[in-house]
Order: sequence, then C-alpha cells, then structure tokens
Amino acid sequence: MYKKRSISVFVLPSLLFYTLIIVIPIFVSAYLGLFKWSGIGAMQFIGLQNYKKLLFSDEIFRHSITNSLILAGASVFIQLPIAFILALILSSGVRFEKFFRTVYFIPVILSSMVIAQLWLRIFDSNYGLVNALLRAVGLGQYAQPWLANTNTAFTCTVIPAIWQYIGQYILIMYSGLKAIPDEIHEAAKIDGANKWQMTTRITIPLLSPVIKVCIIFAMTGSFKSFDLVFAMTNGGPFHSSELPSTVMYTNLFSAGAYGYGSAQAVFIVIECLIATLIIQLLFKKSEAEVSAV
Amino acid sequence: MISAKKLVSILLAGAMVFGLTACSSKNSGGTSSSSEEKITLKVWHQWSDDSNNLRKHYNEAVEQYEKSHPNIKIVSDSLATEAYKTKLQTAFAGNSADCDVFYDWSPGRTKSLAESGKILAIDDYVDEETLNSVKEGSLDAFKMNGKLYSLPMFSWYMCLFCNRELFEQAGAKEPTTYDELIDACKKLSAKGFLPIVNGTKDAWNACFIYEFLAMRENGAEAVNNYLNGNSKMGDGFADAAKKVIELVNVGAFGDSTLATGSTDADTIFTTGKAAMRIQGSWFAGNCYADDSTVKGKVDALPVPLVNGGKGDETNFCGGFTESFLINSNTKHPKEAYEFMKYINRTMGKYVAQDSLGFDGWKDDVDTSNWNDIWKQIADMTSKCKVSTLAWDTFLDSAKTNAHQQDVLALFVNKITPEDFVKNENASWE
Repeated sequence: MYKKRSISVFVLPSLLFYTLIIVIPIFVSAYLGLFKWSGIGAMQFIGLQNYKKLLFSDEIFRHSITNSLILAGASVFIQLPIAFILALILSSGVRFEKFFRTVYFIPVILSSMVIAQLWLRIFDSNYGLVNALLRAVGLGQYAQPWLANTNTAFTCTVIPAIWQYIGQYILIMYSGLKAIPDEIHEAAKIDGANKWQMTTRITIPLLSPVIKVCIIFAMTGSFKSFDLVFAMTNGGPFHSSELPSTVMYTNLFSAGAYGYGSAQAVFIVIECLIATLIIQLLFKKSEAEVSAV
Repeated sequence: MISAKKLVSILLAGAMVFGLTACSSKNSGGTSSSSEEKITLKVWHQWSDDSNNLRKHYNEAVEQYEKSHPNIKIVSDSLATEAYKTKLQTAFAGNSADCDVFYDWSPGRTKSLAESGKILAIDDYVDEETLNSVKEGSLDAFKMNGKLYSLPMFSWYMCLFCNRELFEQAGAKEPTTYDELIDACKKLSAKGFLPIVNGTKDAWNACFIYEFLAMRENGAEAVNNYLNGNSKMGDGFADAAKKVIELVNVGAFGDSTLATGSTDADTIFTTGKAAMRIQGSWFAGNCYADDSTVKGKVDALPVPLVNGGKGDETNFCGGFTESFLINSNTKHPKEAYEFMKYINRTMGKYVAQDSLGFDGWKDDVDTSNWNDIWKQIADMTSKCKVSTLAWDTFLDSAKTNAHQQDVLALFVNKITPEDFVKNENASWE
C-alpha cells in the first residue's frame, strides 16, 4: 500500500505535465474543429462539418494522406531493410566500426533545414548535382527540374527523408544486435546453420521487439512528417508533395481556416494512434509465435 | 571521485541558487523604476535582419524618441516576415497579444482585426493638422466602417525590371505591351536566356503575374470593385487567366519557376541570369546591392499594357498598406498613438530616402541617394491615378488562399480560364 502511494506521488508531476501539454491540447483542438473560425473574430459552430469535409470531400487532404502512406511504405520497406543490413554488417565486427557508426549517424543530428537546403541544391535544375551528373554521362535528355515537376517533386522529398533517418535506425538495431548473446550464434553454428539461416531463424526473431519499435517510429514519423517537405517544396508544386501536416499548417496559418486545421490535427493524432495499435497487434501475434518456438 | 548522485545534487543546488539570484535582481529593478512612473510601450515589427537598413533606421528612430520623451521606454520585438505573420495570427486569435503598437502590411488582416475590435480606432486622437500632412489616398487602406485605424508609412508599386544587356544580345525590345512581351520572350528564349524569372513557389509572387494582367485587362477600378465585393469577375478576368497560360506555354518563366522562391528569383535576376523580373518597386534596391552584377544595366518599366484592355498607364498595382497599428488592449492609448504617428512618419521618410518605398507624408525627402532605377520608377508612378493593392494583402485569408490556389493551377495548366473565373467567384460565397 505504502509502495503504491509513493509510486503515484512520483508519477504525478510528469502525468500532470503530460496532461497539460499533450492531452488537453488534443481535446481543445478537437473542440475547435467543430467551429468555422478564421483565427481572429467570431467563432461559428458548425458541428461535424469540418470532419466530414476532411474525410470525404477534401481532395488535397486525401492526396496528402496517400503521400504520407507512400512515405510510410518507403520508410518500412526501403529505409528499415537498408538500416538492418548496415547494422548487421557493422555489428559483425568490420574494421573502423566506430567510424562508420558515427558517419551514418551524422544526418540524424543535422537540422532538417540544413538537409533540405543540401538536397535543394542537389535537385536544382541548373547547377544541381543530379542534372550535372546526367549531363556529364551523356544522359542530358533526362535532366529536368526535379522539384518543379508535379510528377517528381514528391519522390525528391522522400529520398532525403529516408536518407536522413537511416542512421537512427542503424543505431537502434545495432544495439539490439549487440544484445543478442554470442552463445546462441555459436550453438547454431555447431548445429550446422549457415549465415542465411542464422540471420533469418535467430537474429531476426530475437530482434523483433527492436524491429517493432523501429516500424512504429517509421510509420508515425511518416504520418506526422513536416519539416523536410515544408522546407523543400512547401507542399508544391500544386500540392503534389503535400503531407497532412503541411496541409494542416497552411490551413491554420495562411488560409485562415483555424477550425478546419484543428480538425486535421486531430485526424493526424488519431491516425498515428491507430497505426501504432495495428503494429502492436501484428507483432503480438508474431511474438507469441517466437516464444512458442 | 564524485558519485553521480552527488553531482546531480550539486547541479540542482546550483540551479536553485541561480534561480534565487535571478529573482532577486528582477525584484530590485522593478521597485526602483516604478517610483519614476515610466511608461513602457511594447512594439512588434518585422525588420528582424541585422543587415536590413530599415532595422538600423528603426532603432535610431526609437532612440531619438526615447531621448525626446524621457518618460517613455520602447521595448521592440521583431521576427522575420513569415514567422511574424504566424505570431500575429496566433497572438490575436486569443487575447494574448502582449504589445501596444505593431507593424502590419495587410489591409485584409487589418480589416478582420478591426471588425473583431482588436485594434484601436484613432479618430479620437488624430487632429486636422496630421490629416493634412499625409498624401492624398494614402489613408484608404486604413479606413474601415467609417473609422480610421492608422496613418500611412510608405507605398510600393509593381514594375517590370529589364536587363538591358540581355535584351540587346537577343535583339529584343523592352516591352511596353503584352504582344511585345510575348515577342521578347520568344527572342530571349531562342538565345538561351531565361525571359522572366518569377518566384512562383511563393504563391504571392505567382499571383503578381495574374494580378497585373487582370489590372491591364479590366482597369484598376474594375479590379478594386471586385476586391471590395461590389462586382463579380467577368470576361476580362478570364482573358487575363488565358494570358497567364499563354505566357507559361511560350516558356516565359522557364521550366523551374515552380521550384523557385521569390528570394531565389531576385538573386537570379541580380546575377544577370534572367532578362526580366516583375516585382515590387523595393526590388530596385536589390539591383544596386553590393553583390549585384546588373548595376546600371537595369531599366524599370510599367507592367506591359494589353491591347484593347481597359487599364491605361495611370493604373498601377501597389499602394499604401504598410503601417503600425495600435492594439486595443493597450493601457496607454494616448502614448501609443503618439508613438505610432511618430514611427510611421519617421520610417516613411527613411524608406523614401533609401529608395525602398514612397513616403506617405508630405515631408521633404532627400533624393540625393536615389539610384537611376528609382528615378525611373518615381517618374512613371507620378502619373498614377488609381492603384490596386496586391490581392493577398487586401482579401481575407480564406479568399487569398483560394485565389493563390487558382493562380497556381494556371501555372501548371490544371484549370481553364472559365473554371478559374468560376472558382474565384465561388470563393465569395
């Protein structure tokens, strides 16, 4: 009893803080989403119209959700596998292990604005690296204004997004890999397992809690991603690279649709929560299988 | 060897002591100043960059004012334009705007602030003499529902800037009409020059193109009628949209304009990589900046006329929108008014001297520092009879957003001129 009380006393400050700066604002946003409000002046109650609009009739927002799903897909199926392979190589005791670990982590600590500026220069149509390279190898006809083209702009923002955070996932997986006891690998080796079998039958199952965390980070990170797109294209040209958060930002701060923007913010929160729940459920199943083995 | 626990406790103790001393010094400062009954005015503005000459002038002006008004202390706070906009929006959404006087450049926003009673009408404070010393028409943007909310600072006008050297090399003529513009674009592209550099990534800069064409097609008065909600868009507005599409199709803006911001576009022109730029008169300063390679090679012209259009050379885009306003929550309305008047008048003069804008007051301005481009602009705008404001500064934010989306759709050829007009008219409903 005494213990329980002391636990609650120690939890209380952070719980209060958390409620104050995260939980309450979400409910306030949900409430503001019920109004038509320019941010200044009178608020007009319109019920669920904002929510209806964003779910059923706002094509820009729908397109932005598609984009965020593509980004999430690219994160899970391109970024994480690359990170996993690099983490495997790093943890297998290559030379200059520490050096490579640091190098891969550098983009993570750089500000997104810096990364955006860097990649803006890479994709620049006149003096950009990509076009210069294409021209240098005689493929000049494929050189194009990458960020000014509605078909390519979004892809051009996905590439740096993936590149930027690979280092973070390498580090998470690398520490997970280091935590797997060597004895298990040795035992498998004695039983005659080859490298492929050891990776798929031992390493991946034992790493699955770590992989789960990585997938949750990658998915929710994609759903609420904002900075790179905002700095590189600001959702343009003509909404082709829009993400839910950039649409929300435009509505809140430049389109004078504070109520509608709030509704979108609530949608993003719910979307992230649902994604987390689904991933948890999927992994619960596979983890149960692992422990059964 | 100090244990981690000890280290943490030392740090905590240190933080506590620091906190105490911070409190005590604040307290002692507070008691000493309250005995002198000093009035503090908080001022927000958007000259945040140290390299900006206006910031220097502003600081000088404030220093002067504090000297001549010893009982007044001015506390200034500045942010860069976009961040400043966000700050205004959020601060006035609640009642948390902790300032007495603040800078604004958007009559649309001024209007919504006035309607919700967030800014102070100055009718009770302003005198006849003050009203007589501002230029004619310079108060229009600050009159709302029969009340006056501010005094003018300075104005700007949209111009066509041409790089004479590139025009000569391409054998093209600096355009005064739309047909000449198309012709020049073709000749310049054929030579491999970028005809017009436009910062289309920044929606307001994209809108400049449509707005000047709409003004030339319909005349400034018709545009003002539309902006005031007195009339709908007619055929002339569709014709202007058609011309934007035509310009895009002849490659007038090059192929990467959608990824070019306004600042980038400014640099592209001032480094001699483009032949034309349609921009506000403030851009004259950029052409004479230290890193400009086009000094002395640039002509400023009125934006091209349209054959058969109703707008003539006495019509301009631009006008008086910039000024300081007073927060209605201020505890010192009289002092805030006095400072607002002073800072608008003083900055108007500084801006005019530095050839960055035209003074809103009938004061003598030292023109000795004016560059050639500025003289051209002063000359042509002296003919100005009617002007339209930039639409995004006049319309409320919802309509501005709709307008910007429609114009961007023209740039990517995703909308017909007819649908453009339909959409624009629908944004009023």
